[in-house]
Formats: sequence, structure tokens, C-alpha cells
Amino acid sequence: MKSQEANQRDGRPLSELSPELRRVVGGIVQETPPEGLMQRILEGVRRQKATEASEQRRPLERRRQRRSMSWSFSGATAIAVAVCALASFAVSLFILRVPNHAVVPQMQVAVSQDLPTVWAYHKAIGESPEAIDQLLARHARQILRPEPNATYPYSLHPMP
Amino acid sequence: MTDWEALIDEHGPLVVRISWRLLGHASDVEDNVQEVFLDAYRLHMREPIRHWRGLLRRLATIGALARIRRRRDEARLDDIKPLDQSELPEEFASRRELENRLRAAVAALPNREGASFCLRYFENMELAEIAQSLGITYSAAATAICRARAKLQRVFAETVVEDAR
Repeated sequence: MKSQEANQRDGRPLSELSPELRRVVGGIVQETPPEGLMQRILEGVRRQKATEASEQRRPLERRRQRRSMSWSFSGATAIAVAVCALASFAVSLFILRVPNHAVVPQMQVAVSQDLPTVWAYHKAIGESPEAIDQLLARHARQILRPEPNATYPYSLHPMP
Repeated sequence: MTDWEALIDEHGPLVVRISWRLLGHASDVEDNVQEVFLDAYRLHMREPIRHWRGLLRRLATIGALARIRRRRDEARLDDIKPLDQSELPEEFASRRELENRLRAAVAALPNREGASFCLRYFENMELAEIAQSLGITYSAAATAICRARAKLQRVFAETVVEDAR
């Protein structure tokens, strides 16, 4: 142990090893790479550094490209949403509402003054206050005493 | 700004030598050296490196040991070297085999022990330098070297006994 410590201070590491290990390690340490191999490897490293340095510049361009791509994507998305909104609005304007025959009366019946329709009362309002009174009176008589063969469907009496 | 050309000229041979001692195959040495400088470059991009020699030694040693662990046991053309005239063929073969066994044994050690052993006995570095290169304390480096030495000496004592039989 003491001799090993002394050897360490002397800076001769191999003397710390056993003879067998020292022989093998010594053989490895003495081996040197061929000069041609050394130069070829170092030349390859220099070429690699040049490539790496040029590729370092590209990430900046890639970042700019990514930023512009993200803006384009956002813009395209906004345009698509706007187009969809406009399209749905346009369709809602022009779509024909199919009437429900159970709810809306036939046209012939609807335009008749005999029926208490909104159209009839609007027309009466447009004429005069007396017209409204007359319309109300007529509708009341029709409900109470419907005429035979009348097409008026709003009778309180059951249909025959 | 780092002068990479000057860096490669100054420390490149050191990295090649360390890789050669541990790997012994030209293609592996080439790959390891390229990876070492690539890793050093990337580290330098994150923060400036003050002690290039220590860093490159560490990267070369640890990279070479990792490569040995990954390496498959296959014969390569690089193994066929011109014979040294002063050495008999069987001596050459025996020496080569023992060296390969040592490399494999060092690679099988824990990272810190293997790296410490290589830096101490292949590179003749002082304990303080080894501790600085590996980023560990002086006592940790000393302990790692002692353990590595004890394990390898035991392995090679058994190897010599087997070969003698």
C-alpha cells in the first residue's frame, strides 16, 4: 500500500497494477493509431463541423417558416369559419319553409273575410274602425249559427 | 467565438488516441471521434466550455466504453493487422486476445469506475484531473480507481491461471 501511494506521488500509475494487468495495459498504451487513419478521421471531423455549422443557421429559418405557417393556418381557419357562417345564413334565408297543412288553413279559406284570420282583421283595420266592428259581429253570428254547407271550419257546433 | 479548426488540430489527436486504445477498430474509432466532437459542439452551444481537454477526454472515454458494450462479437477486417516482425504470431494473438478481454472487462465496470480506470492508466492522468474531468470529488475518483483496479486484477489473475493450464 505504501509503495502504491509512493508510486502515485511519483506519477507512475502503471506501477500500481499487478504484473499481469500491467503487461496488458502497457501493451494497449503503447499502441498508436496509424498516421493515415488519424488524418482521415480528423478531416472527417472538420467536414462534419462545417455541415453542423450550416445546419445551425437553418433552425432560425425553420422557426420563421413555422411562424408563418401557423399564421396561414389561423387565417385559413378563420376564412373557413366565416364561409360556413355565411353559407348557413344564406341557406336559412332562401330555404322554403314547407307549410304544415294541419296548422295553416288552405289559401282559399285563409283569404276569405268570413274567417277570423289575422289577414282579415288587418284588412279591416286598414279600412276603418266600423269595418272592424262589422267583421267582429259577422264572425260572432257565424260561430253561434253556422249556415249549412258553409266551409267555415271554426264552428262550435259539430259538423254533420 | 470558438475556433473549431484550432480545437480539432489541438485536441483531435488526443481523442483519436483515446478511442484507438479502447476500441482498436478503425471504423469504431472514426465513429466515436465524430460523436465526441458533435457532443462537445452541442454542449458548447448550451454553455461555454472552459476546459476543453478534460471534456474531450471524458466524452471520448465514456463514448468508447459505451460502444464496447454495444458492440457485437464479430470478426472485422480491421483486426487483421500486419504482423510485427519482432513478435511471434502466437504471441501477437495471445496479446491481442488479452487486450480485447481487458477492454471488455473495463466496459463491463460501472461507468465511473471504467472511465476513471481508463483516464488513470491509459492516459496517465492525476487524480485531481480525473475528478475534474468526470465532475466528481477527489475521493470519489480515488475510490472508483481502487475498485476498478481490484476487480480487474482479480479477473486477470484468474485469466493468467487459466491460460497457464
